[in-house]
Amino acid sequence: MEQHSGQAKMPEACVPFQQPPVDPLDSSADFYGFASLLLGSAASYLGMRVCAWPALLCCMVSLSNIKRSKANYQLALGSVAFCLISLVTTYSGFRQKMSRARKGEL
Amino acid sequence: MKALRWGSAALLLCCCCSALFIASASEYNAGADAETAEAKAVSDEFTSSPETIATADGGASGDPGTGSQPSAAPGTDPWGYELAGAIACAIYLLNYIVGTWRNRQIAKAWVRHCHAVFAEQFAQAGPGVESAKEGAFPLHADAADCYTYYATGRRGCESLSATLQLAPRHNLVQTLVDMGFPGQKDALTIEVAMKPDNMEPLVMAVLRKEDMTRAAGDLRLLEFGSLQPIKLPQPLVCVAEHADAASRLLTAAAVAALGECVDLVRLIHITDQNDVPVLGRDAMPRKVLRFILELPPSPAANMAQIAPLMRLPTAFVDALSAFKLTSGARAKSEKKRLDAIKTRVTEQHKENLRRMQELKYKKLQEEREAYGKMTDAQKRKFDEKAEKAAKKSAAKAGPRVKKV
Repeated sequence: MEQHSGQAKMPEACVPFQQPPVDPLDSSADFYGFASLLLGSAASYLGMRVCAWPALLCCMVSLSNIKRSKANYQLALGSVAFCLISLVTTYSGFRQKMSRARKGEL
Repeated sequence: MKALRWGSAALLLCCCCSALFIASASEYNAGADAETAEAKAVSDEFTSSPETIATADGGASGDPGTGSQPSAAPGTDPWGYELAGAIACAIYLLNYIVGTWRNRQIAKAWVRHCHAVFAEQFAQAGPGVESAKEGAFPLHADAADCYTYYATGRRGCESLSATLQLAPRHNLVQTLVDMGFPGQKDALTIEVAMKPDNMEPLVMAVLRKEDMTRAAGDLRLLEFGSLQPIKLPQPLVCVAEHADAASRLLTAAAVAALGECVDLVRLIHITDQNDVPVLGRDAMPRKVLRFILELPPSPAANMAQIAPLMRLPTAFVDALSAFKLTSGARAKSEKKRLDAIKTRVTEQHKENLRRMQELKYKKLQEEREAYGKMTDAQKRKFDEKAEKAAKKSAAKAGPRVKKV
């Protein structure tokens, strides 16, 4: 392997790094994000606290798998917010109050 | 190392099992306490006042609208799910930190052994990111398991990019799955975007014999090249368009380097027909060298094994820049490419036609089914409408008569 390192470098031929365009249709499916959404929905609308924690775990897995170059931060933030809201609403007594209000106790 | 991995897996499994056990035990206790409270309420029914009975009922059964909400009965342990969830999240976080650190160690080992090779060949070598700081760590962490590297400023090529795609050690779920079904291995992909004028029309690949069938289809190797009788370490084979180019590139030194790391070479692909995006390049370069290598087992400790292969990309760039085809060979190559384009266009056209015909047939079938389900009046109306439409289209298609 003959190499002439002294002549090889050419600073004038430097090409700056360019981020290749990301095809939104090409991005691989985020199953954990989807699972987090489903479990979060079950936790918040059906009051199933058994779903709230797996939703949080799935959200963590989804976040840890994100690639910075292809990250959609709005989507990730939305997923985290939804997951936390579902966890909070499951425990805040919101559902009890609602059911009592429906019965006319409050 | 293997024992450590199995040990950590066993520990994680134990933690998960204990969390599940705690969850189920506390649920059982909660259920038992609820039953006790209910029994107490029933026995008190005969001795207490109506107010006391109402209070006891509310405490035992809880709010019917809350579904699986924790019951408010005194003495119960309703925090089973919470405990299990918190433990699972804590274990995941712990594994994330440890896994990220282990991947970082592998990246550091790669920098220790390979960065110097590229730094002496390229004017700029550093992290594969748009805004790299001076003196920063030479690898850009794109994810916890993916590191990128970019070098530019060398004769013969525009840029070189390397992607370290490591096993997802940070992902506990994937780690547990990989223990049963070994999945993604640590891999290194090096891509060199050649200057368009510095490479003759050439398609060449060095790959394992067992990958030949798949690669021939995916990379369209046999469309341009054929198997070359070059002596390579087993199980590697060479497919090339020009035998002369193969012998120029695969010198004794290159073959020796391949022989040292024969288990780590997955694919070396040189093509002027690239249709895959290259890291660091906005527009897709057509002339590309692509090296797909596996990292050695326990990469952080054995990264030195891969160092001889790091000299191959730049050596190939020099060899390709020096390699010139004869006018006859070039004309032959260009004819092959034109034929390939024609074949592809014809195939695409045939495929489009087939798809169109399928759609038409499907639509016709649906219309027939719908017509079969119509009543007589509806059928008459449909026929009239179809006749009108046919007349209209015939009038449009016919010769235009100038009105005087």
